[in-house]
Amino acid sequence: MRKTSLIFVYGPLLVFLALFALVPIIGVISSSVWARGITSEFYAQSLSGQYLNAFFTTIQVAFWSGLAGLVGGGLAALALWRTGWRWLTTALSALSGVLANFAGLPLAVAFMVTLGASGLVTNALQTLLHINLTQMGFNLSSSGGLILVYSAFQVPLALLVSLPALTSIPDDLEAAALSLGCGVPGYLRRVLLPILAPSLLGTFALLFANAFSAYVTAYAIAGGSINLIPIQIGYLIDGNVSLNVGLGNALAVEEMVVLGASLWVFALSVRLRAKRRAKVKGETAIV
Amino acid sequence: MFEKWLYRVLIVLFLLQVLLPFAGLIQFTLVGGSGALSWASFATLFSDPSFASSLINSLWLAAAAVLLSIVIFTPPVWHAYLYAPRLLRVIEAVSFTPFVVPAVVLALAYVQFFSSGLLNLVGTPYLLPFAFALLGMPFYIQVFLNRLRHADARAIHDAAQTLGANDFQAFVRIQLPLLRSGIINGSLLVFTISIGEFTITQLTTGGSYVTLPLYLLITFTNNPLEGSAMAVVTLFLAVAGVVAALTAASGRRRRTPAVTAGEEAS
Repeated sequence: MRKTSLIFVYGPLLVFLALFALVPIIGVISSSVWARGITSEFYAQSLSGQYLNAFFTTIQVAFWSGLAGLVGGGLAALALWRTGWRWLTTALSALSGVLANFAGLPLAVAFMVTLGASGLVTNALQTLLHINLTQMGFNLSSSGGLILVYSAFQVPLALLVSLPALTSIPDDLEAAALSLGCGVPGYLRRVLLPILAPSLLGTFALLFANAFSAYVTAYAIAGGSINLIPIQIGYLIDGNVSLNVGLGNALAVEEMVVLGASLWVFALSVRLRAKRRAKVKGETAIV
Repeated sequence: MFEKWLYRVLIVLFLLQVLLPFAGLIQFTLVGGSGALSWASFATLFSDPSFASSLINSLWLAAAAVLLSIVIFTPPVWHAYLYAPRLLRVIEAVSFTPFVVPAVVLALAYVQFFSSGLLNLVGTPYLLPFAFALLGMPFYIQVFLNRLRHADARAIHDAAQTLGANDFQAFVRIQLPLLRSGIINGSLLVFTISIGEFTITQLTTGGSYVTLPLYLLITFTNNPLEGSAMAVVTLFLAVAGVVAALTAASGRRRRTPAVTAGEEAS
């Protein structure tokens, strides 16, 4: 292909990426350390007071919702894989795809009308069983409430991510383990779990990143009453841009560092799995 | 025996956990107002003129984002897949940008970068199709690559050239029809993402440009019943988009289903 036509092939992508990703992001990074000279004041600010608290709350919500997602989605994936119902697997994967990627806002609304202060379940518990959720300390817009809501998209995401890890396990592995005298529980715990450990860690890292960057769900449910990093960044944009851009940029850079590190762990686990599978295939071929 | 039942219980638990909130949502939408089953909340929603205007806003933004994705992502991914595998790996890695740079950070970057000079786009909706295309990029590229890997595109392209077609002719008249299902699938995902995007829309326009998700939240605050009817509609659109993409994927060998799925979503 001639060089001129290569410009038409790659040019639009390069311009698009430069304009709508690279340059704006470099702008954020550079102005997080620059205000009439190099400065670390924005980072100092972003790691103290309410912003430091926001970090702790965000980590807390991301950690627990990630763990809930890993356990719930992992067990559901295990059950689907072991029962081997293909149509159910396809249907639940599709459902999970919708919930994990596209359901932030409807999900928030669904939880508010069911478990909110005057939600259906809240009211039903009050009138039928005289259980007052609010008096028991339950509040949908607290970090505990958000962990519950986030789990509704973390569990489907974990299912989606861990299914391929499970299906990549060779079928004869179980037969081999069973014939060597370890029962099904032993196979699950002593053979499967060690094999899956990197995948589980990777999945958890992905879920952590997912919750750490979630904005819409938290915004719809709690508005300004929950102190999370994405909410703080949104507030700095929405409220008063000119007031403290540097602080917002510092928070954004910290957010990107956390997400980058988590996704790096996830990518490592995926690559490890691919390598291992190639190795298993190679050995079978030799035999 | 015990094992089998354990797995069934686990699957049922998963379904309950995932579907209960939505059962609550649908119940609230249908009987929440009067205590009797009624479609009134949907009637209110569909007769609201701002519903129609936000639907139109969302539809043109999504259509523009899909068009941009097709034009910007298809040729380089195709070319790199055939001739530059190393470059393809770079493109793939870059396509995951939105996972490391979430919507809220992109919005922060955009309000600073697009607020002056030639590209003074903050506060207007013209920034949004580009932003949506960026958010959809990893999905579009993965789905399109998946089709490329199954299509034997290289051999067919070589054959076309041996028969005397130049690169452009072969791309437009042979490769595009060959890879159509991948393009349709990717487009459906970009469309679904665009229809549901809230963060960048709200933060870069200051809420002045009302799309479906913004309308959903505004309505829910004013009138929870109408808002939850809107949530049901949004969810239905997302399910339709994903199901259409899956139908197109499974019907890749037959021609008609892919086309029908594309028509349904647009």
